[in-house]
Amino acid sequence: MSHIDEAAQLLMAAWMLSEENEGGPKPRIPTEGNILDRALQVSIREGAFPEWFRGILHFTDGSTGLECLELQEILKVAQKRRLTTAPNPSYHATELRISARVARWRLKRLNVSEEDAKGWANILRNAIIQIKGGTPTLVDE
Amino acid sequence: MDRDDIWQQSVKCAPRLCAALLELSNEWTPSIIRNLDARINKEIAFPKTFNDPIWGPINLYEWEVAILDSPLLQRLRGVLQLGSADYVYPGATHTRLNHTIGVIEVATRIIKALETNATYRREFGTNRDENIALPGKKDILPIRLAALLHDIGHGAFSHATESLLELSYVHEIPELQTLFLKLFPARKPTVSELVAALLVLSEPMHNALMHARIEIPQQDKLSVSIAARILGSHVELDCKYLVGVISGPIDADKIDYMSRDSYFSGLPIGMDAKRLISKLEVVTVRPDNTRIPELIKKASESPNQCYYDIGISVAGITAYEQMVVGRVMLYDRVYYHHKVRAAEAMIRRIFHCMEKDLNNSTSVKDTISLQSDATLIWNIENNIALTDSTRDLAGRYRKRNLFHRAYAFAERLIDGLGDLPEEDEEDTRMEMWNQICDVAQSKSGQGKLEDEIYEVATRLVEMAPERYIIDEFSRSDVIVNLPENKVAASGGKLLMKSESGYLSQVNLYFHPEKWSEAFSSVKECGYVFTPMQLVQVVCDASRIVFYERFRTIMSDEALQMCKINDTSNEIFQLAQENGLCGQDAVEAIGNRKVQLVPIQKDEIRLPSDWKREDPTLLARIHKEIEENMPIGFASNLKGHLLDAIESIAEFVKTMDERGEFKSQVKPKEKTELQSELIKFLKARGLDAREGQEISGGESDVILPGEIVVENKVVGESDDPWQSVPDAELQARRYRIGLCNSVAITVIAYKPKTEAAFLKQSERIEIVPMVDYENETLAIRFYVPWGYGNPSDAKAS
Repeated sequence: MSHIDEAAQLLMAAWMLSEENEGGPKPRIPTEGNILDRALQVSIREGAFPEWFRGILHFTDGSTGLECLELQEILKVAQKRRLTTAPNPSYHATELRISARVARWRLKRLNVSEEDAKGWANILRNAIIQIKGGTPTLVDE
Repeated sequence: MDRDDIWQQSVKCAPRLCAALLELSNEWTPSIIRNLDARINKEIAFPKTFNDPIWGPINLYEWEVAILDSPLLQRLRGVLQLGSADYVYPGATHTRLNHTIGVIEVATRIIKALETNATYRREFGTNRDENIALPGKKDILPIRLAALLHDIGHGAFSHATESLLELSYVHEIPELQTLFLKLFPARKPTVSELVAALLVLSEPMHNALMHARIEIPQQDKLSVSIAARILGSHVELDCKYLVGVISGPIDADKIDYMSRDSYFSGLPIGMDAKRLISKLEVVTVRPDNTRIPELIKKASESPNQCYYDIGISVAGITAYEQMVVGRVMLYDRVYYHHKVRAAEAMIRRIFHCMEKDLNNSTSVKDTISLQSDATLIWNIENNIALTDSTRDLAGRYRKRNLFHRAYAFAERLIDGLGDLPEEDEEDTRMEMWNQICDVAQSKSGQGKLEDEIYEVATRLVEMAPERYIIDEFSRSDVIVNLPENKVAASGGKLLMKSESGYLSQVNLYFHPEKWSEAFSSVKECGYVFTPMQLVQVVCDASRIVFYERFRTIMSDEALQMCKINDTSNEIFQLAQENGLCGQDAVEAIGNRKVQLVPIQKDEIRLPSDWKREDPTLLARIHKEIEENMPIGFASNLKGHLLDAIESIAEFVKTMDERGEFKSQVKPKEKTELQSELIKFLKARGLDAREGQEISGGESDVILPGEIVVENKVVGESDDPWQSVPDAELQARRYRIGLCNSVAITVIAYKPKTEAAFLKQSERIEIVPMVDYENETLAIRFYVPWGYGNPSDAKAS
């Protein structure tokens, strides 16, 4: 498995478990407006995610804002593995298909503990809230 | 940025690759200088005109023609733009050279469109902006040269051989990508872009670009400027809004190849290139006309509180959508056509076989040579240094005797789960698909799958020669193909300007790139390819292997995609009788139902004293079994497994009570440990078989359900759990022969310390299977020996 593959699984499994809501709607992860790009950069700076995950990501200031160069590929792999649905009509977020049970199985294969994964996802969520909340985090690379 | 410095850094990251490219550059660039020298005393020539079926007359400057006439570019005359697609679309014989010349023209038109827009904004309207720079020679001419040179890094058969270079330079290429991201901030360069940039930055090319006959300002920076344009970077660019002309979201490369590929393959895609180009604009980014934080910051820090970039007007969005949708269609119907995929898989297989035959990995000089694609294949076919099967494969390719689909696999094709509750069905389907991806996504995983399919197919042929009329069958005849999803390859994001001048990402009515991702991922399908004569046997073998490995069967639609008519089940019954698959495989494939059942905690039977000693024991074992085998067990295996666990646990307990191995003499694996185990199991009524020759190895014990039990005796250990790290490796060898995903190991060890003498409840362990891509359950039981009298065994 390539690290991009593993990153896709880790990101979606962690997000799912941190938002686990028995019987509730499946969680969504924002995929538009460079929100997730910025949030990933903030999270990584706060020490979230394992070394191998942090090591594969590169950030640059693109024409439309901060971009994580590997993120599009990660999201595509997540879709390819059916961990997420095809984008919804507004395309601002993608709905997760992966259940909590499958998320745990996937984490087991990645040798990542559920506790760690949830912790990282919470850091990522907080970064997204901060970014979406009108107090965007301007980060220098 | 200094060219020499960039080169030195590149050499540090990728010495082999740079050395090979320097050699090529030394060979191919002197003719550029000769061509230019021949013009020194002549009158300045008017541009040379080329007629192009897509764009009409195209003018090239004298120095561009001089470079075009060198081997560096002329070799592209023999590289088909679409690789093997001409086997399906006979008109698709246009070359990378045609495309290269076309890109120069499109790049020039894009620059003209932006220049026109910039001029208009400088001179007309109420919001004139005289600060918008107009493109000058310093930017335009290097962009044209970048267009000319952008594809010199493409090897034979275009994209088919790129992955080979990624493997051959497995460390160097990622290092170079990281370096170039730092030096030329843009997006991650592909292999061919890296190679093209390095060739341009090489000293011989740099010297050629310094020739007096090349009338471009700041020539000393020309090679860096060209490399930057190829990589989509702002470096050495005055008019920053020109950054994406060669490599960007709407660039000359895409516009030309889409127009050209559509035209020559005869597949209209309805892209309005002229309108698309005309709607490109120079956009002014200010702190007050966007909400994107990084753009606000950049504008705030820029002179005059603004900067300029390329964007598209809202009126051009339809043309942009057409382009994205058209690209998806091209990918789906041309680049990813199953015959094209088969042909490209054969090319990769040919190169892989060559590497094995010659004991040498593919070098960049093997793929970037003066040989045309056709000549290269011919030479491989006639190279007596290669094995017959490699040459035969090359011959097959050359004669369009292409591999066929024998088996299709995709998430949407997974079948047989209808009896499960809805939630379980979804989870099982997803986990099955992910387990297939875990294996089939990687080259090594594909190789292992191919090995298994080949092995099973070979045995099927032996078993049923009347069913399969086959002359020859070799390992290279099986190719598992699950391609990377490149359909909606992003060229970066694009700024859209509304009528009021407000800037945002393109996202007005619907997002065409997201749509294209959804389209491509739904249509995606993996295949097992093989020669036509072998389709039936490889199909049958694949069905067995996919079931045994992934507990997965594919629907009838999958068989129809491969045009398989014979779906009889007798062959699977025969396979089962000959030990090629389990009875559950026969039932699953025949009944189109996969009977998977989880093990419930209450079903696990362990000695009572173990459970009293550790009340959490059952829960722990159950959890670990579930985590290692999330999709459950074949229903007939489950019962046998529970019996095996119970019986072997009782064996461990009984050996302890009897003090059977307390003697200081190390017990013999076969005659003591194994024979005691078999005696014990048989006394309990289990049909334990011993010492069979299976798949080239000698197993220890086989239990009902084809459960393998290996016996190991090790010496002193203070950590029995680490005493035999790879105990299950041997059991794994029997996977094909015994068709199972469960391995049990009984390990007799001598406790070195008191702490190493495990409590009863610690003598069963579920072990994660390291390095295994498939789902396998490994259970270990520990039996201490050499611990003296029972009274000395304080932990008992």
